[in-house]
Amino acid sequence: MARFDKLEFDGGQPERSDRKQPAPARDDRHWSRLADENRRAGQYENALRFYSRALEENRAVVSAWVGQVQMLNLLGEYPQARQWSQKALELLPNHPDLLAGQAQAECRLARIREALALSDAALQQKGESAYRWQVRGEILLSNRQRTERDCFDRAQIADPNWLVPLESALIYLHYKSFANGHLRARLAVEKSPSSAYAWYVLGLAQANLHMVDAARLSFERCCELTPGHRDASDELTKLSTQGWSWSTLWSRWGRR
Amino acid sequence: MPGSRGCARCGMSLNLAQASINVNPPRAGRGNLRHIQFVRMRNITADRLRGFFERLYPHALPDLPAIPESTVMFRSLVPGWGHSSLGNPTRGKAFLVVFLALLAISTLLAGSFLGTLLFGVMIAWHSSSIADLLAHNFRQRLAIAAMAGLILTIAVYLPIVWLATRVAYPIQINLDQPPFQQGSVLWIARHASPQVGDLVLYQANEANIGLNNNVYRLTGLRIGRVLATAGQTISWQEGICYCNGERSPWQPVRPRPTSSKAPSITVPPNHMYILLNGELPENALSIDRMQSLETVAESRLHGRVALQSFPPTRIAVY
Repeated sequence: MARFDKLEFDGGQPERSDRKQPAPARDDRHWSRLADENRRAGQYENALRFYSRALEENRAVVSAWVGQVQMLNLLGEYPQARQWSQKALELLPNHPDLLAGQAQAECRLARIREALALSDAALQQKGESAYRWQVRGEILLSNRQRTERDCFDRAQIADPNWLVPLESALIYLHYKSFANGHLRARLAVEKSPSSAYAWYVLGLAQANLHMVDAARLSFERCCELTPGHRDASDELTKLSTQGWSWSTLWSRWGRR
Repeated sequence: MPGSRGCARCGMSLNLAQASINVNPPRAGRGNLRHIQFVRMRNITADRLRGFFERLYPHALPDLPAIPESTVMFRSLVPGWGHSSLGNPTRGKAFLVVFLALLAISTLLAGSFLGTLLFGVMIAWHSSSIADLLAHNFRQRLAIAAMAGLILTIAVYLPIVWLATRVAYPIQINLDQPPFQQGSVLWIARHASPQVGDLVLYQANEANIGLNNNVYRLTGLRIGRVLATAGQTISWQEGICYCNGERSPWQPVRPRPTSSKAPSITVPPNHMYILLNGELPENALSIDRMQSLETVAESRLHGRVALQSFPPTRIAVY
């Protein structure tokens, strides 16, 4: 198109259509935002990668250190989460969320005493955050103490974001407490009905509670919001093909 | 503070933003993810075991009102009772549960080698519970355990065993004798009055039976079935046994070769007619001789076979 560049028009200077927009600054805030978006979509692997990118830009982004530990825990890599939180704690001594992250890893590895000690230390630090209360709730849940609900409520008070009840629901689902998980996931969906991942988690809880029709609706809603959501599609297929089995019968019997 | 490298409030490095640190976390391989389940199970087991042993061996016992030593000694007769009264119920329960398990298994296997062995272990366990209660060091523990074992055996267990065997006692079968096999343990009820059809243990009428240059010696303890009691009449017709003129539900394994005119016999008072269970060769004895051998005095009875307790696969009540 270079030969038409010199043509004159009535409107004075022609607008240059190929003028490049200023590229968004790819700083730590950019990567942190991407990480957060992926986390909200349940893409924990991507979120972990973006948290690392944010730290490459600025190693003082505390939320990225915490996010990395949280993502490792959500990905089920507990020894690595413990190791990474220890390393982060060397740089950020006594950071409450890092302590909570390590406590969560210890709890998932069934080292309850260590988890409790770390959680105590996290709660003794100044300030307030939802994560440390969530971890406290998880430790109580794994110890089969019934006061865990208060901790999760406290976490929601500390941070009214819909991600908090959603991740609380994930904790409940991890410990196969599906009814409580269902409550938290529904809360997350009520707060953010446009979040596909919240619908997906709600569907998982419903499917485990054998609320088949409700689970199907939730997964369909998830697919509507994110067309081609692979996990939700898989779950829908599973729901449509599932018949009776001894394990289903047994779990229903046990739930009576 | 000027010149300071760390934040005075939180301790965070002030040069952290530009520090050269690897910011990529370690990742788990597939094998590691599978390994996590194993680690988790191991930690759960270790935690439970640790909790159990902490309750079993507490660092400090709760303050309880002092109990007289005589009371503790008395309570030590029941394993675990003394521990519970001294404020260590978990340890007491552990002693009691193991003791009861040993007691149950050794009773079930009584009469067999394994049962005897477990009974000995049970006495040792009981004496060690007493030693654990009273001893303060290793030497004392050994001495008290040995003394307690001796005293318990003589003063408690032997009398109990003697009293129990007045009611019923176990015997082990050394030779196959249908329906019993070698190694089976039978419980003989001493004072039961046998009825027709019961299996009994008795001292056989001694006899030397000659046949074809061989001598069969009938003696010793036998197990046989009572076909008739005192006053009842036994007759044989064509190898079939009749009791009071009616066909007996209990017959020998092989029909006896008898003539149609075999004499009938009335069981005399204080005697029983007990079937010799096909132990003698056919045609070895006349039916008269056979009947006299099978008529056994009640004084020769040792007891009724009440049940078979071993092997566990063949437990039966008779």
